[in-house]
Amino acid sequence: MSRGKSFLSGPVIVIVGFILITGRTLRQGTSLHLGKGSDEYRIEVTTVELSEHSMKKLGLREGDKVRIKSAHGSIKAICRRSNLPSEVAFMSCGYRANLLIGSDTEGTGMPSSKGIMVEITRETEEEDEV
Amino acid sequence: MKFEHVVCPLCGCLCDDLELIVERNEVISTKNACALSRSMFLNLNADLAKPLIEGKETGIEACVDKAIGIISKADYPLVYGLASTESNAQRKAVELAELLGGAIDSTSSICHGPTVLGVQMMGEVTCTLGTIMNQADLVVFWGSNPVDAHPRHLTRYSLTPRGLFTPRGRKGRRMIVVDVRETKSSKLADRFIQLKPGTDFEALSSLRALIKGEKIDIDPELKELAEEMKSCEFGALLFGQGLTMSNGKNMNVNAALALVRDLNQHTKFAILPMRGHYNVTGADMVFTWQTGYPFAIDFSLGYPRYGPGEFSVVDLLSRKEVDVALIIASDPVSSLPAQASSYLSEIDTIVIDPNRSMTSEIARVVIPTARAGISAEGTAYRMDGVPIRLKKVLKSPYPSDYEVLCKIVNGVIDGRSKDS
Ligand code: SF4
Repeated sequence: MSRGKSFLSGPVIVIVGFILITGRTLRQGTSLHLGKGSDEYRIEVTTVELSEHSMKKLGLREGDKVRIKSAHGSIKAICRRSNLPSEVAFMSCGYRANLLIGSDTEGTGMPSSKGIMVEITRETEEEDEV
Repeated sequence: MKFEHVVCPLCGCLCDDLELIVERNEVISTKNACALSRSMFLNLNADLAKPLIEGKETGIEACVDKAIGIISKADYPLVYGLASTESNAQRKAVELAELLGGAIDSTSSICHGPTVLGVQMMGEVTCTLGTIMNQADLVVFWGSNPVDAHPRHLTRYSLTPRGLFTPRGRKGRRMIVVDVRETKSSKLADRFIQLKPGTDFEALSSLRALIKGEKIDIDPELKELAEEMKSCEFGALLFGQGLTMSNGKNMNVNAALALVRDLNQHTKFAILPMRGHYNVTGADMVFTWQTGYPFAIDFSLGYPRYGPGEFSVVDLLSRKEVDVALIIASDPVSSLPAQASSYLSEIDTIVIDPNRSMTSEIARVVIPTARAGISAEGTAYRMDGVPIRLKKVLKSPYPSDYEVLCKIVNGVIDGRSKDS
């Protein structure tokens, strides 16, 4: 049945890249007060959430390391399963995600912190800590 | 010692019903605080700043003198931050930026700056949180996740409280969440509408068309939402950074403001941004009453000029246009895109902050202060623009942000009179 023009989220089968959304999480907000050097905070802002479908497709298990690349930078992150549409990846606001965000504000002062096109791949280099 | 009716200086809800037990100048327990607030109050000493010059610990007076020396010689300094301090300090910061012929911006530009741009273009039909509590039978959260970002919003103002015309509390209220992902807030909602990322503008515009009676071929969920919005007694659209940070930015906000304006032809409806830092609304207010403009202000010509995209922090830093940065109660190294914040380590950066931060790590001078709303009194503006007086509950060995800024302003003026 045709749904006409649709803006609602639906299943996406082919993964060519992800749309990265950044936002606040309670864990990021509470661990912030332990200091930005605290393990809790560091782990929370270094974690990327993906859908179960995307994790399977990329051959990932929770806690695995991934490489996230945008037009502006590249970071390592730890992945966590979440109830997201398969084309969406989510990260807590923080210094890690900010490496992926560009500084063009399109004349508004506001960088585009949500809806960043990224590539996510399984990280194979093991040397340095995430 | 017990302190009652303490205001929480953390998020834009500014809850003013906290109870704190303080022993030996430390908060040992809290009542009515949410998880974020509790974590803040119980870890106040976890990461305190120390007076530093070039990374070496020294006295606070020496730090202030050094800051005056650096800032007096600047060609085009930036004063930035200010959303997590009280309004007297904000006022003094504007005075300093004007005195120096520099630029001033608050974290507003990277949270709800597009909201301000939208409101300047469209106007807004708004109300206070008290009105929502007392009257709203429909609350729509759009691109906002209050459970994580404003944990007591739902229980204090918008969903469960009973008010004058809402005696049934949660039972008499419908909650709708529109977002691109499922969140803890969407799980509490009576209806969750999940959008594709980047389609807020289209969805809001379609709702406007539906509300005007246009027959458009669109998702039935949006049609039902339009009907529900039209038929409520009093609705509130509460939006977050899902609108301001996504593709479209201020145009998304424009569409939301226009939708609410249109809804008022059918019922009563109001719109309110979910502001993050506890006094970011105050920064907009103070900057506006001092200069005529809410953020991204330049004084290089001797009078205030407004320029989001030009005099806003991300643009000034990424274009490397300033030679000194004075950062007050903020951590841009952590919160700005790295392409912009990396410039802070190339120039003379001065930090005024009670806490250590990633910015204080790269700063030439760090001036620790008494934390506003905890160790210093002042006024802050709640997300709906209601000013609330902050209390002092702990002692600090350091002066307040306001006192430090007064010393810097006086130091710059004294230096100039000696030179002339
Ligand atoms: S909701 Fe916000 S203001 Fe209220 S207690 Fe929590 S952090 Fe503080």
